[in-house]
Amino acid sequence: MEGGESMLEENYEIFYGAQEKSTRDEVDPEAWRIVDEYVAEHPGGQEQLIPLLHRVQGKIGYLPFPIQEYVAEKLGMSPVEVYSVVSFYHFFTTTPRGRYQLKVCMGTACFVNNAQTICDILGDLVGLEVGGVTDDRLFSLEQVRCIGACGLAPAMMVNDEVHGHLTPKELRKLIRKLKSGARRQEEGGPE
Amino acid sequence: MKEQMVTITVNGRQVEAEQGGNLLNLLRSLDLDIPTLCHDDRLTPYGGCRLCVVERKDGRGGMIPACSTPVQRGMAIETQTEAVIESRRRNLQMLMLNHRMECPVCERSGDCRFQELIYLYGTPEEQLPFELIRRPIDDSSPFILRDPEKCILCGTCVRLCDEIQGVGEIGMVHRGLEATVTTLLERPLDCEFCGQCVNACPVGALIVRPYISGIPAWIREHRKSICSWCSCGCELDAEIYGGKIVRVSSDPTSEPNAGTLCVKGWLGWDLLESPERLRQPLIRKEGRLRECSWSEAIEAVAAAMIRGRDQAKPAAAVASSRLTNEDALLLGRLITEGLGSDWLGLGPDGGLRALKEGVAPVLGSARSTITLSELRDVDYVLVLRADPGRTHPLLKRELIRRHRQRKLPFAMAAAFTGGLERHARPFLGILPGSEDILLAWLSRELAERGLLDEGLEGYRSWVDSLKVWTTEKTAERTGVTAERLEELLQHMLKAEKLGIVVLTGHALPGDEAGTTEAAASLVAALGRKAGLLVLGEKTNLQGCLDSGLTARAPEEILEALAASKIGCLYLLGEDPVGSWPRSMGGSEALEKADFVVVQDAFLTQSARAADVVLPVAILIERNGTGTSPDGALRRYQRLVDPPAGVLQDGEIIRTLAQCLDLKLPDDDDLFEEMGGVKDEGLPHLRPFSTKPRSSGGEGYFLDASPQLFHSGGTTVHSARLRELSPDIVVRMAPEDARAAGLENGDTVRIVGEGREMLLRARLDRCVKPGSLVVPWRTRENGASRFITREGEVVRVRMRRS
Repeated sequence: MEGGESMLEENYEIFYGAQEKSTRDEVDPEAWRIVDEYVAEHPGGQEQLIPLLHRVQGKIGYLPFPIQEYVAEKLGMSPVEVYSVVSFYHFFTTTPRGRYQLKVCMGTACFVNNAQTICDILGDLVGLEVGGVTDDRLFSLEQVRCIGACGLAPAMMVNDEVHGHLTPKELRKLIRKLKSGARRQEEGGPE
Repeated sequence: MKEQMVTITVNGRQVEAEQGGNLLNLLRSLDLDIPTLCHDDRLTPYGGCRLCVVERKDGRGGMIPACSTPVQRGMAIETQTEAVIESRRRNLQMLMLNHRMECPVCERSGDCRFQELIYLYGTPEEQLPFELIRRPIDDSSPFILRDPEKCILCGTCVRLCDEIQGVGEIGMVHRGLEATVTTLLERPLDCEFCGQCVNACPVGALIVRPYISGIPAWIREHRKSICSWCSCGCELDAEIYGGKIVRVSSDPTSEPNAGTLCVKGWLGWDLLESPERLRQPLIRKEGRLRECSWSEAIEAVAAAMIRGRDQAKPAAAVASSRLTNEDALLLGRLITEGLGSDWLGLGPDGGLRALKEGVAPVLGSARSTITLSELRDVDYVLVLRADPGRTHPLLKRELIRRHRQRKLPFAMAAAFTGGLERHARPFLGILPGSEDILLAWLSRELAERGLLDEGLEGYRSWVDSLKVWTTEKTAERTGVTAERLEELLQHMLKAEKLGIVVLTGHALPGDEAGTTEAAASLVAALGRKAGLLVLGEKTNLQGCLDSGLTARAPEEILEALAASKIGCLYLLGEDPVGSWPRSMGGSEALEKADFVVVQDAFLTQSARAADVVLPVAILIERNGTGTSPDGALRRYQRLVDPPAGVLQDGEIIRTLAQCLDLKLPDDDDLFEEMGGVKDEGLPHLRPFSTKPRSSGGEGYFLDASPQLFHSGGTTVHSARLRELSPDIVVRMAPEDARAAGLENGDTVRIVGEGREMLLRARLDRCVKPGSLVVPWRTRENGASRFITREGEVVRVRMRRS
């Protein structure tokens, strides 16, 4: 037997650093299934990357790194190649979003209709900076480019739903409604 | 497909060009100086740096990037107008604004394309309002420092890593001013450390720690030679100062490697200065090896040789296939003419039996029929026995390049993997040692379709012997599903030109000679449709074969030794005690020799048992020629001198010859003598047979074959290679580790054949599930202890310790 354990210990730390902790378990199990299903239905390898990422983010709200690595493996790409696409597009995010994703439109029509003020008020109401997520993961706040609802300016989206002609009063009402809705769901069991 | 020729106008001159060809290449072929920073001939066009802009004057005016523009009929191109020059100047200025300018102290100063272009074009006087974006140097990786403030985002490193190395460790992440080249999650590099990224970087954004010298580029001397780690024969470009190597890279135009190297060829040279190297001859006195003078050592050796000759106990020499052609010929003369002995042979190096017993009897000469470079253009390649990324890295890069850039597929049939399997179409993860059966099945299928040359001598009996290998039986014996076999067959049927590659190396499971014979038979029967390439383990196997160093097989020499028929045993770079399979009985045989001379750079286990040890120059410290697997001549140029008091093999042999009153010709005359290999006849097929191998039993398959960072024996003396892959690590597939409840870094006991080893677990996605990768030799010992016979399949158990 060569070495002895102490030498093994010492060398290993020098070469490989501390042990890498597995983060796989923190990912929603649903996500793996979505990837498997999508790849089975859509042959074509790399070309399917962006639609697949859309699908995953649509379901679980963000793109955790273990999932990016899994997608890479499934499509025959390297993980960092997937990440370079994810990081290039503003739309994709690697941090978890809230259950209600508040997306304030900053397109031209909204912008001249005081979208910035709307965004600031909204931020105060939920206690977030742009890009943040509340601790209970109920809300996340972000600014987006034109959502194509210029006639309703200033406008915003809550998940897939458009809310237009926003005023501070309506914002307060909306947030209150969302909060109480979430509370009711919690009390009444799972969604 | 013939390309159409069209006429275009370049700087007012009419030029014939290929429709759809690359405009940049055309302009450069006209001797026009077109600057580029992101362009690399080896990669698909990128069009990132915009320095190759030229002006188009034929109606569709404007600035176009030459590197990514196809030639079209009627184009009118101007390459040196004021607008072109100004555009390049502006682009350079913008690159410069976000580049930390520290040319006087930069490691790449004087060897930087960006610097050259700024000297050439200058930059506009007025300053743009922009401040350098500060980013720290990433020094978390072994050897490679990444300095994002100097990076100009040309993407060459990213593209090389992906398109040629097939690794994709780094990528361009984020966008706009935030864009940077990094790894996933900014982890330290965990890659093959091939150095392609560093050598291609046009600026100083990638720096290699061991090659930081502070010596300006313009006072370093450039010398070229051939890498002597494996048999691929990559061209090296070494920069020398003060008799020492300060940097190693390779020229993008070099053949056959097109500027690419592997970790051994790039960084492994620190072994030349290893403190473990022998620097003085040793002689046994009162039972112990003591340092002595060269004259004392040589006299003792010559006396022992003469004594043996007089007592009718001939001397025997066993050489490593790293010997140069000249040294091999000299050794042959010394033993046959000087000592009247015919006990002359090579060690059991990978490839020797493949060529002698596999290729020669079938094809008529012990030589491959296709070159590494020719493999680029065949339609389909079948690689057998190993992952070339581990044994012959250049082949791996060629396969990746074919596959990624030109969609030319290849198949790999091997029991153990190293990462290339992801690119193979298909990958056949066969049971260890069953490649010959796969080839027999393929031959049978092709013969049934009438695609083979039936007129070959021995064809009938050969085909009859294949009959038993039905798809069903083959699937059972190789462990490959019938669907996968069919996929391979379909690819083979589609290909007009085929390449079959047999890889060799220590501890690869299976019968090297039998597999190669099966491959050679198939190639012979396919006729001009196919070529065979056998890559030996060590650099000059072909040359040593051609020089006639194979009169006796290594087993035969050991047997004669054990029977006390040999007087003096002369070992050149071979270590029968330490590195030959145990079943050959190296250590017992050595004890029987009257006098043992070991000529080696390190104190091997055989050297410890020797009577005289002669220190010798190795690898790139030698001058001479070699022969590549396809028969082409290679010139090994001495890049650095060996340590003082250390001689080259040939010099030692000449000195010995003088003591024996033998006149040896000059190296130049020897060179003339090299007649090359003799053709021994027409192709001749022999019935196929396979040796039954027991792959039953339980446990993990032990994979002690060459690893990327360690090819076997010599590499363990390189501290840098050891740093990248400490020899205390057992690599395993993540799923195996999970099943055994192991994490990275856990201590593991490997048990098998009544022996055991204690190692640290390393999870590695490149390892095939069901196998454990264990270093063949460490400085202490290694997995070689588990393996007793060449080609043996060994199973071991793994326990958490």
